[in-house]
Formats: sequence, C-alpha cells, structure tokens
Amino acid sequence: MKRRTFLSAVGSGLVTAAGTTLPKAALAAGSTEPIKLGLLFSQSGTMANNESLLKDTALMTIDQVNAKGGVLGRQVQGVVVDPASDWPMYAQLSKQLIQRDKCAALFGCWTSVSRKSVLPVVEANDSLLFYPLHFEGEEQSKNVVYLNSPPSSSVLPAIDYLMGDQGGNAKRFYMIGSDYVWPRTINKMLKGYFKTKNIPDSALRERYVPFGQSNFQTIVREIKDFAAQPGGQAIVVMTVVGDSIPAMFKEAVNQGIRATDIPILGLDVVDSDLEGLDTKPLVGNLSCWCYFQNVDTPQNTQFKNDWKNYVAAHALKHRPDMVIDPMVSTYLGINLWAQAVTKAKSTSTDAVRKALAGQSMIDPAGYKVTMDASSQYLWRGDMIGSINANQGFDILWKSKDIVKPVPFNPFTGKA
Amino acid sequence: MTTLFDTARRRNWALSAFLSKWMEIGIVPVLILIALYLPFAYFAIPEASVLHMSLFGINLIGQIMCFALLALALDLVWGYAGMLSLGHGIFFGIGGYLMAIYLLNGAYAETRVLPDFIQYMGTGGFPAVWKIFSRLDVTVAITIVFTALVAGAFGFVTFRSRINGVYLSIITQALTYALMLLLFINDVGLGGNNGMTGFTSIAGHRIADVSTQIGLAVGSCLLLVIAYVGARYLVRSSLGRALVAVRDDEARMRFLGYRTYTLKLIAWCLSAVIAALAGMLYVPQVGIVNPTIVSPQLSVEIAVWVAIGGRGTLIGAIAGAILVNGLKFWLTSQLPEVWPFVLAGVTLVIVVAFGNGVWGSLKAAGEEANR
Amino acid sequence: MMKGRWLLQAVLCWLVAGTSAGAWASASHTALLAAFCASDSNKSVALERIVDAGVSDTARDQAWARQIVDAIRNSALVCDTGGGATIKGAQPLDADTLKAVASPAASDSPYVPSIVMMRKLAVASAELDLFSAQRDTRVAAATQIDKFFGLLDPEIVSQAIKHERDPDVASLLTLAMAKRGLGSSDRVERLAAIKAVAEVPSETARTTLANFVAQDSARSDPQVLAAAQGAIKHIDTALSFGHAFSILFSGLSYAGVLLLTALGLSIVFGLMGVINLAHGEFIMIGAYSTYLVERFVQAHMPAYFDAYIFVAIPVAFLISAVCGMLLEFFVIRFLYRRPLETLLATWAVSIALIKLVQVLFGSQNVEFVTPGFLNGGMQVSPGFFVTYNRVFAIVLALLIFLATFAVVRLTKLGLLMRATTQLRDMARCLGVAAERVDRLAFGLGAGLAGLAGVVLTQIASVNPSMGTGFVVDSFMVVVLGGAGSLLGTVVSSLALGEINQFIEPFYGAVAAKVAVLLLIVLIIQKRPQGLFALKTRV
Repeated sequence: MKRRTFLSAVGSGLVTAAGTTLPKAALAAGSTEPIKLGLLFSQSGTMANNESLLKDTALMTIDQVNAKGGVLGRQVQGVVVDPASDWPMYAQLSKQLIQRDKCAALFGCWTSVSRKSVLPVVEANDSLLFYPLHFEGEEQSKNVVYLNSPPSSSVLPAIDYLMGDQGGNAKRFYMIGSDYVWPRTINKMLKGYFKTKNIPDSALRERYVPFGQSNFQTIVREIKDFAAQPGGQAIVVMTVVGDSIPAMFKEAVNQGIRATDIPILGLDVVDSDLEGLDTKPLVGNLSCWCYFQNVDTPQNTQFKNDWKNYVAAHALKHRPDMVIDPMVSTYLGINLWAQAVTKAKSTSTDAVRKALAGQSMIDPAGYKVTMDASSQYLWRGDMIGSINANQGFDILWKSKDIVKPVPFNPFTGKA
Repeated sequence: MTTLFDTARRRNWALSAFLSKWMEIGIVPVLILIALYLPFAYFAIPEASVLHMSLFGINLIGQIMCFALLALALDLVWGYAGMLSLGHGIFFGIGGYLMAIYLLNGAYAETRVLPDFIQYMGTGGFPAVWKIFSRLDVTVAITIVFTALVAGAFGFVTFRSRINGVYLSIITQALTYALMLLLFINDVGLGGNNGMTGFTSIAGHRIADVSTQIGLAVGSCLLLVIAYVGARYLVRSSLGRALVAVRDDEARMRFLGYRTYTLKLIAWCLSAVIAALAGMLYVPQVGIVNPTIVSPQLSVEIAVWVAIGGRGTLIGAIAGAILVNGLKFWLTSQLPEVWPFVLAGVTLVIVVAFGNGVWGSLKAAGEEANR
Repeated sequence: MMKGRWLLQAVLCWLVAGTSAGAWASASHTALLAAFCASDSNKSVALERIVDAGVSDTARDQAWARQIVDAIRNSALVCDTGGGATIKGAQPLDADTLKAVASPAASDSPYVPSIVMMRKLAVASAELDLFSAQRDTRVAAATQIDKFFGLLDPEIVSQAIKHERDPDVASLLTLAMAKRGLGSSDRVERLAAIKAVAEVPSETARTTLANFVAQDSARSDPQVLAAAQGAIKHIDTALSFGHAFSILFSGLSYAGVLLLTALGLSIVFGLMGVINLAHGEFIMIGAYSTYLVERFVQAHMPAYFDAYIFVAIPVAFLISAVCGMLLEFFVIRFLYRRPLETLLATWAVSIALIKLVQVLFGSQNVEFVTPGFLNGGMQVSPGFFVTYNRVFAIVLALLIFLATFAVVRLTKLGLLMRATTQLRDMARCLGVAAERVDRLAFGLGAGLAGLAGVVLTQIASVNPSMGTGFVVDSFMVVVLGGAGSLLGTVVSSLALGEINQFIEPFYGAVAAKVAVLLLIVLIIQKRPQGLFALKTRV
C-alpha cells in the first residue's frame, strides 16, 4: 500500500510535469503537426438535419483558414465525431476529443442540453467549447465561448414587437416548448418579463412536449381554445425544436390557423425546418436570429457563394442555396479563434481566452461583430424575420448596430 | 478407427473442458489482476509505451465492468431462474439516479449552486426528501432497500399471477419504457431530458481527480469479483439447484411442494440489487445520468450480452458483456457506421447457430469431452 | 344680370373642378404610391386610398389597384428613395405605369408587411374582389370580410351591397356590417349585432362577444348585457358538444393507428407465438416505400401526383410482405419453439435494418408532400374541426381491417392459418404444410405493418427510427386484446385510443401514455390471456 502511494505520488508528479511542459516544448520545436479542432455535431438522430450543416460549415471554414496559410504556420484539422443526438454521448465524445485526440478547442452542440452535458468535461479539462447557437443565457463559463445571442438580444425585441402596434398588441401568450432546459428557461424569463408589463397569469399558458413529439393535434386545438378566450390578441411562443417544428406547423395549418389569426413566434425555426413544407399558409409567422440569408451585403453574397461551391465540390446532401444563422456563427467562431491564436502565438486555452477578448470581424450580415472584453459572449446584430412563401424568411426588422449581450437576464428571477 | 478429424475434435473438447473448468475459478484472479494493473499502468508506465493506460481507457474499463455486473445480474434471473427480464434497466437506473441525487447533494454543499434543472424549474431549492441522501453509506443502504422493495412489489404481483415467458418480457419492456417516458418529464423533478450532471466529489474525493477515477474503475472490478463469487456460491448451493429446476419445469416443482413463487422472488430481488449497485458505480464514472439509462434498447442489449456470452454460466454473462461493449467502444470510435451491422450479425449468428452463446458452447463441448 | 353671373361662376367652377379632377386622376397613382412609400407615412391610410381607387369606376384604376395590393401582399413592392416604386418579379415593373423596367437597385429592399398590415391587406384585397364578375371570388371575398369585420371600410362595403345581385353574398356582407354594430351606441343596432355574431357559433364569435361584455359601455345597459351573456352561453353549449366530438374523433384516429400497427402483430403472435421486435421496422419500410413511390410519381407522372398514396398501398404491402417472408425464411424458422431467442434475433435484425435505411436514405426526417385532397380540414360543427389526413387514416384503418377479416375468415389461407393457430400438430396431421402457412402469415403480418407505415406518412414524422416508438404500444394492444383475436385487437385499440385521448388534455401526452401502459400491465396481471382469448386446447 505504501509503495503504491509512493509510486502514485511520483507518477502523478511526473505526469503533471510532463503535461505542462510537453505542449510548449512541441510548439517551441516549431512542430508542423496540424492543430486539431474537435467538431461535436450529430450526424444521426433528431438533431442530424441541423447539426450536419454546422459540421460542413466548420470544415469549409477550416479549409478557408488553411488556404490562407493556416494558423501559426500549421494547418488546422477538423476531427469529426457523431454523438447521434444522445446527450451523454456528447460528454463521452468531448472527453475523447480532448484527452485522446488532444484537440485545441471544440466547436459543437446545438441544443442546450448537449452543451450542459459537455460543460463539466470542458471545465474539468480546461478546454474551450465554441457554442454557435442562440440560447437561454444564465451561464457564463470561462470554458465556453458564446457565439450567438442570449434572450435579451434576440427574444425580447421580438416579443416587444409583437406586443406593439405593428405586431398586433399581443396580450396573451401560449408558450409551447420541448421539455428541456432552453424552453424552460426562456419561458421562465418571459414570465418574469410579462409580470413587469402587468400581464396577468391567466393570460399565459405553458406546455411542454417530449423531444421528437410529432402529434400536435391536442395542442393545436388547445391553442385555438386559448385564443378564443377574451383578453386580447393571443400569440404562440414556440420553443419546440428539431422534428417537432414542421410537425407543429403542419398541424396548425391543417387546423386552419394563420398568422393573421394567431401569430406564431418560432424561436428555433430556421430555413432547414421549412424545407418540404408549403409555406404559403405560414406566411407572417416570425422568428428571430442574428442573421437571415436574405440580407443584402457583399459579405453575404460572398459567403453564400462559398457555401454553394463547397456543397457542389464535395457533393454534399445539403441544399446549396440555404444558409442559416448557426452556420454563420460557426464560421465566425473558427475565424475568431484563428485570430486569437495568431495574436496569442499559442493554442493553450489560457492564452487564447485572453487574446479573444475584443477580437472582431465583419460578419456576412454586415455587422462588425466583437467579442466581449470579459464575458466571452459575442456582440452581434439582431433581426426579426417573417416566413415567406418560398420556405425562407423576409427581414421585418434589423438592429442598427451590434447589441450588448446580457448573460444573466434580470427578468429570470422575477417569475 | 480414429481419424485425424476425430483426434482434432477430441483435442478441441479437451481444450474446452480445460478452459471451462479452470476459467470458472480463474476469472477471479484475472479480474483482480486487472484491478491492480490499472493504477500501475497509469502511474508507473510512461505514456509513450503501449502498455500505458490513459485515463480515458481506464474510465472505459470501469464502465465495462459495471455493464458486466449488470449482465451477471440478468444471468441470475434468466440463465438460472428462466425469467427473461427486458427491464433490468429499471434497477440500473434506480441505482444511477439515487447515486446522482447523493452526488448533487455533495456538489451543492460544496459550491452552493443549485443544479440547472432545479433553477430552470423554479422550484426554489432541493426537495426535502433529497437531504436524506447526504452520506454515501446511507445512500447505498437506501438504494439496496428501495430496489429490493420495488423488485419485490413487481414480483409479488407478477409471479403470483404466474406470468412468465414472453409475457413477462413484454411487461418488463413496457415498464422500462413507461419509466423512461416518466423521467423525460421535467415536472417529475429528476432533471428530465437534461438529466443530472455537474458532480464534484464522492465520499470526500474530488471526482475530477485521477485517483478517484482510477479508484472507481478498480472498485467496479472488485465489486464484480465479489458479486461473481457470491453468485457462484449461490448457484452451486441447493437454492441454486432449486432455481434451475424451477426454470426447467415450474409446474413439476410446484407439484413437488416447492414454493416456486418464493424462489423466484429471492432470485429476482437479489438480481435487482446487483443491478442497482452496478448503476451506482456507473454514474460517477460517466459523469451524467439521464433517462436513456432506462431506455428499452439498453435493457434488450443486456439480454444480448448474456445471450452472446452464454446464459446459465455466470462467466458467459461477464464475458459477453466485456466482449460486446469492448467491441462497441472500439468500433464506434473507428468505424461508427459499421457497428450496428456487426452487432446484429454477431447476435444472429450466435443466437441461431450456437445453442448457448460462446461460453455456453465451450462448456457444452467441454462436458462432451468429459463423457 | 345676377343670374348670369351666377351661371358663369358655376360653369367656371365646374370647368376648373373638371380639369383639376382629370389632372388629379392621372397624377393620382404617383401620389398614392408616394403616400404609401414615404418612410413616416400611415401605411393603413395610404392603403385605404389605394383601395378607394380600386373600387372606382375606371377599369384602369381597378386593374392598377389590384396589381399594387397583390404586390404588397407578396412582399414584392420595392419603394425607392425617390418616392417611386418598382414591383419585383421575373419581369420587374414600374409601379406607377406598370411598364417593364430594369431591376430595382440592390440597396432597396421590398416592403415586408407586418401582421397587422397583413390583416388589412387581406381585407383590402377582399374589398377589391367584391366587385369581380365571378361569383366564387365574391363569396370568398365576403367570407374574408365577415371574418375581419372590424377592419372593413363601411362605405365600400355598403356600395358593394347596393350593387350586389346575389342574395348569399349580399346577406354575408349585411351580416358583416351588422357585426360592426357592436361598437355603436344605439341599442337596437347593438342587439342586432349580438344576434348577428351569435348566428354561427364559433370560437371567434365567442371571443368577440366576451371582449364586448368586458367593456363598460356594454355593462351599463342591462338589456344588451343580458343578450350578450345569453348568446355566450348558447355558443358555449355548442362548443362543448364540439369539443366532446373532437376528443372522440382524435381517440378514433389514434385507435386507427394502433389498430393498423397491431393487426399484423396479432396474427403473427397468435399463430406462431413469435415476438417480433422488428415489427416497427416493417412499419418503417412501408413508410419509406411510400416515399419511393412519391418520388417516382413526382418524376414520371406529375399530373397524377395526388394519387401516389393509393399507388403506395399495394407497393408498400408487397415490399414489407417480402421483407417479412425473407426474415422468416432466414432467421425465424430456425428458432421455432424458442420464443426468447426469436426475440433477440428479431431485435438484431431491427437494428441492422434501421442502420441500413439510415445509410441509404440519411437519418433526417423525410418530408412528404401531402396529396392535395388530404390538406386542411373541415369545420363539422362549432368547436369540432376534423383534418382530412386523420379522416383518411381512420377510413383506411377500417378498410384494411375489413380486408384482413375477410382474408382470415373467408379464404383458404385464413382457414389454414386459423387451424394452425388453434391446434398446430393436428393441422399438420391433416396435411397442412404448417411451415408454408407460417411463412405466408408472417408475410401478411409484415405487409399489414407496411400499410400502417403508409398511413403514418401523413400524420407522423418519418425517419429510420420511427418504428421503435410503435413496438411497445402495438405489443400492449395485442397482449390486451388477446393474441390472434382480430376482434380483440379492434376492441383494445379503440379502448386504449380513447382512454389516451381523454387523459391527454389534462395531463399531457406523455402522462397519458404512461397511464395507459400501467393500466395494461395491471389488467394483464389479472387476465394474462387478454380480453378476447382464443379458446385453444393446448
């Protein structure tokens, strides 16, 4: 026993010494080993549709970075794994990417539950996860870089619009979401916000369905009932994700709901969710993101062209003419990471973290996005889009400049 | 006239006889050796060497040992009592979730930060019931008692009605499916789809520490050894023989005056407790517990491990679990597309062609040789 | 003298008015557009002016207004900085003159109507349609105006009523106008308005009346208040009947799906005691066969696209049946009398099938274009709305059940199947080739699962793992109903479907499912052979 503890003490000492000196030694030797970036995006399961787009955008951006000479004279290599929409698998594979493959940083996750599964792993191993989706906020880990907006920057402006004159003076809210952390937290924040606007509890309804739910018959019927109660215009705040989005839209359309009757604000709806749907009856329903592909800037034209060529060159199964906000976030994340590494002259987490503060670039929507000096959130522009008849979005409103992200929302505690 | 073929076959049998006889005892030192090797391989052997085990690898071995324990539990009720339960995930999950509650208690005491799901559910604080699970020994004791009660309740209702065979299997599948659906609901208060994560320390040791991780893996090996020794003793005792007789012909046993209902209930509750203990060791090594632990698919997979290894031979269950899960971890990291086909193919071949799995066939061949 | 001067002044005024009116008419389009496009303009007022032009007597004005309103509705009107506008499209047009021009500048983006504007545009478009020559257009327009009666322009609508010859359209419009009476202060008008609104009970009517009752102006007059509350009560009764029917209907559609998925299983389980965990995958194969048929019809016979679902029925049945027979031939027949091994073997096949389909088709959801006749639904009675896709599911489930019943009761195969189920060895003694019957029955069971897949393409999401969600449910239906009994399967699907839908509105879909599962487990404990057990001599 004594020998074992002695051995373990010596061993762990050796290991830690080796661990801290080895990477620096490698760099100092001017190694030409590629820098690995872990790509943690599902290619099967309920999130496959959306996340495989992000994986390919990441690979495309890595190609672009390499074409410009790589980072610190080394090529960047994307390591692709498939967590199969299984949240514990995200944790397992992130451990594999960090410990076994020695990735410098991870890019991944769409749903908040997958991010929460990976969080303890990146914190325990002091690695960096670049997270490209808009989410519920209430989190600020030094091991996560938040590339998209918390609710204060995206959800609240859209709610304000709907409560205003042009949006129809919404006074009653039916909140339907998938049963996990993001919809629950968003709704909690909204309830607190509504309280400050003197909306009574009777004007709110909250419902949750499991992931992948496709039968919305009863829910849509309940929405119609709810809207028929007195008290003002009712809207639906839809926080279901994945396959549930087209299922709910189809049921709503079949049962005769139109945006002119009961507008639906779909917080996670992107163009890929509208594929295959006849969107004529859905015209007017809203969504909010930091980017819509109809925005007219030279950077956007370039980005869309690059994507089109990439899809054609690699014969991918995606639509070449469809670009969504999370893809742009992934693109921004990799570029900002590359800029930070170049500035810090190292890939170690600490150095990159320090160098990231204040990094900025022009995004395809034309905004000069900037990394916050301390919170590791990215300042981005904000837009509200309206579904059009071509399975896309028309831009109803966009912010004049980038918006300050607020990680911890003041309204969440008030519910 | 002895042909070359006969000689080869007889030699094969002899080998099988040797293997099956000695492995049944030999597995114990083998497992103990593995348990001792793990910390040695991590600390003493340098990283560059092939014999070195990374923390990642040790963690995997620990998880596989938990699965082997789970397979052992199923073999007790299936191989020896004839009840194919496709819902052993329920007990695995009970152990896992109760351990998670204990770990969250510890994390809260340390960080004073409530777990995410309590925060976003807005329930305010820990449920009072959870405070009971603040010590590891208390948690283990409660888990054992609670699991035995749940298993007993199920057995009481089911065995009394003399449900067995496929009906029992379907009912257990339905129950584990229902439990999974229930756990997905956030309102139930157990984390819903998010599950429970964010564990910091167990019994005073930080989970993130290398020594804790290795300790957990070693602990899983040792618990497997203890369970195996205990189970082997049980099945070779008169109770075990009675169980096998119940498996083979329950009506006759009942006619002979044995209380088959009691026998089955004992085996069932024991198996459930072993499964729960496996779950308790599994969760701190994976770092997260979520409703997929009680999914119907996992419960069927346990039966597949036992079938491939060979049921009715405790070693077969352990071997099957280690083999299949080892293959799974290896293949899913190298060739993820191929794994389901490999698993399906192996299962089909073994179930259809081999009477009783790999180990079962070895043992049968061995017995043939001894005649 | 005085008279002369008066006459001269009148003539002069008339002349001036006439010329200025003419000048105004030609410059009016530009002015209307400028009024709409100005950045701080009140767009609704500008829209009303455009509609006024559209209902004037000039045909040219009518056509122009129609084009502009349509362009605004389709987000195709691009206002430029000079106050003019272009209509986007394959051939861009100048909004003023409607002549072809070059594309609008890239920096100008089209006007995207807000939701409030969308309602006003719907009403504007309908008001323009009120003067069309086709009766159908006018009926649709009148219905739209009736729906948004709060936004209509009374002058235009009264003008339309005056010109209207068709009594139905006229009465719709009069009704719409009457509903506006809710806002007036005259008691008679308000009572008439309440009566008009309550005439066709609906959720929206109830909302209107409920909002009205909440106003102080309504509360101050007891007679009006009583009338409104009475109307609300009347609507509520109609609506509650409708809701009850809705629940029954959704229970029926859920039961239909359960019946389809469980029917094949019941036959196979009853006949061979085989637990087939790959049953869900046969459903999935049926759904994907439908997808292939849809693609094929789309590519080669687009004119008959809507009929693809009918073509898919026999195709899916055949493909699934063949897969089932292959499974029986290669795997199941070796595991005869070993039900637990069959379970594991079929599970293995199921994961292989799921992966195979994933590799071939991708793991994401497959989107189906619903045939035209299955889109939308119908308001059968107040509060009771049926969607056509579920009606189709129910009807198809019934037909398939009847067909299966006919096969089992009336054909030779059915006779042989029943004989082999009831007393296998005796049947073999009498010369029945039990193995062949097994194979055909398994094929039939798999084919029925394939048909379930066809129906499910219209009401559920289709992806490689869609089958796993149905396996446990269909087994529960079979076990509860009694293996091998068709009647038992029907009864148990009906019971379970209705119970599920009764619980769902209160506790949610998941809780309902769990409750139903636990209920079945409890029933099985008491009666393990199921509700309608076949009487067999074992």
